[in-house]
Amino acid sequence: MSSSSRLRQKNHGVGLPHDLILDIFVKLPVKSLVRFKYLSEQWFQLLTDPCFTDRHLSNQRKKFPRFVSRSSAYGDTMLNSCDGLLCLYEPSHSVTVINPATVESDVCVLVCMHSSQSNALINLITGFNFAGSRRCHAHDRLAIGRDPVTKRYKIVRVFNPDVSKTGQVGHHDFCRVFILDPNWNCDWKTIGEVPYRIDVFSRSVYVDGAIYWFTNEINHLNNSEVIIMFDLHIEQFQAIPHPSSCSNKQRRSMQLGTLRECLCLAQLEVDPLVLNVWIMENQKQKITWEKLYCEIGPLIHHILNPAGSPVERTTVASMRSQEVKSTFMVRQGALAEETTGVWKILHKFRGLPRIRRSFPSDRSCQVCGDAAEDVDHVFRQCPLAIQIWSDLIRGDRLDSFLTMPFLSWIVANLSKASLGVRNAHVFETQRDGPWSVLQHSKHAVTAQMAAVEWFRAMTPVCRERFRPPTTWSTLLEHWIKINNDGGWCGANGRGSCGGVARDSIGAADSSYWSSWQSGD
Amino acid sequence: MASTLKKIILKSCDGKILEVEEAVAVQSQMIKNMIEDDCANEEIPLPDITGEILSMIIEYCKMHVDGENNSNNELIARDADFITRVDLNTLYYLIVAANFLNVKSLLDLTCQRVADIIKGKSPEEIRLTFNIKNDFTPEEEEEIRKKNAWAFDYKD
Repeated sequence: MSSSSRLRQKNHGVGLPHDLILDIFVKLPVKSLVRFKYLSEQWFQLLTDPCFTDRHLSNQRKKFPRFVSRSSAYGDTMLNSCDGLLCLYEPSHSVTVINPATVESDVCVLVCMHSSQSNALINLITGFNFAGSRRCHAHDRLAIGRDPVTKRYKIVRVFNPDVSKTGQVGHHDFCRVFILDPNWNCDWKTIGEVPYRIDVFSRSVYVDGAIYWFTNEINHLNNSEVIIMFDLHIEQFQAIPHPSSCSNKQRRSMQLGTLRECLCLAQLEVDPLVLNVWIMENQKQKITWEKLYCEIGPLIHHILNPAGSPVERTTVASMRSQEVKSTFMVRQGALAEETTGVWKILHKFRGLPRIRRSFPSDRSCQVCGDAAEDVDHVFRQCPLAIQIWSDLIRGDRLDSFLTMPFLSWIVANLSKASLGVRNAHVFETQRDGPWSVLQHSKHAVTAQMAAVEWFRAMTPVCRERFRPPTTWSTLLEHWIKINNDGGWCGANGRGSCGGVARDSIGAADSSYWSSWQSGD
Repeated sequence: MASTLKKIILKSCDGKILEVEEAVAVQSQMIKNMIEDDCANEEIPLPDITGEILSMIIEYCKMHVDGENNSNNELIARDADFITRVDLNTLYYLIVAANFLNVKSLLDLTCQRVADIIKGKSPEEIRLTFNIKNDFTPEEEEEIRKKNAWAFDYKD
């Protein structure tokens, strides 16, 4: 009986061969597929096959993208996404992969790699079932991507084993890969040592079967290796060529992304404000970069600088880092009010404006990754701190030392008697003593409200004296560099910042600090 | 001019003969391959494709050749107009024929149309439509339904 005569029966779809039914199913929305996946054992196999997922995905990609809005009630951080799968990292050190398309928006089934929550279905279309438990660390760089050959998803973890053991950043990163496969007894597979130093703050980007990172510009000295690629199929790292004009640019002024399903590199010049964008083409292993023309000046300026304050502009260079670390240079011999003025402006950024400038909201300690990074933790509870104290304090006093109330601990250990001697020694060679430092910071804090008005009223000539450095270099004589840093705790809305000014020979000139409560 | 308007002769399974301009016929990758291999000089017999279905396919191909210069949106509108006139019964014939003749865009169009029609159906209806034998036990089925309750909510 030919297929057409079979079609003539009452039930017209009956005669369709399986491959044509699959052609129809490829066009179905996810919700229908979740239902039809269990038509029979055979259809379950057909619809959960990675090849079907692949075909379905390529059809889905033709549709308009949808946005996912996620509240971070779980305190997790989104690492990256791949084909609509979201890869999340939680402070409890687990990696979660969720498929928002297969779960209701309000009941997100989170499947952790903790064995207690194993065997839940995460990707109903591909039928991932995965278990296994491994702690991940704050220094880890994690990314998800898809092996272009096997069509399996892989989580890549680059980590520094020395951090977890000693709290010190060692010299070598290692790599492990976790394959999301319903039929495998999954565990992390060791790839070995990473031949490059990947930037901890670099956002990973998945494009077409590979994951890309920046190298760390301080620890990775080879300027010809700026972008690192991890091929998800052959599971190897390799440095790829980058636009030639980017070799000497600050890594922090650059960002990787995807554009037109290709890797793209964006680089922001601050003065004058220019956004350079390149698109990578990878044809037959030959990599070329095409530069795009971007006229974004007024737009970006408006986004980054809504209040029109000239100092905000200088934070642009560090916009993609996890913390606000700004660096200003002020000419030595400038008017005293000019020098303090910069500090006053910086104090102005607090509460919401600071959050908007991506102050860290990750509460966990950056060293041990375990507890909230509060003062008590940093000084007394972090394993690293305990180790240091146990080296310094006599064994019989260590217990009382570490259990003493915090206030009396400060009084006992950081009072003038002990710290004063150290400070006197440190500042001995300075022109200004510690007292002057305190005066400076006091002055800066109390006068901060008036400072913005002052800066706005400043003449353009004066402003010229504040310029953001574009590359790191030894300071010229008669210049002072002011480094600012700050932190913010999401739990109680408290934060603090501080800064130190140094001259060309590296001597500390003066410093300041300030703390605030959210809403100040 | 006459040389460019070469005709291809197609013969349906119910004996209907249709003459088609080459430009229209090459919309079918299968016929295009035959022309390239120089095997399309005589009539091409098409088993499994009735005259009615064949003329619909030719109508579709003609529409795409004539509309080459039209905007993409206009073509999409014409496709939609073409496909909504076809009933489900005829759609299955069209899918088989488009697959045989290898007209990629028509196969996409017809499959999408069937998918749109069946997307809200229950698994039972789908099994009946495509003659699929359910080899899950009622207990297993119940379990699956419970686990994926959201997908069995037919509101949209």
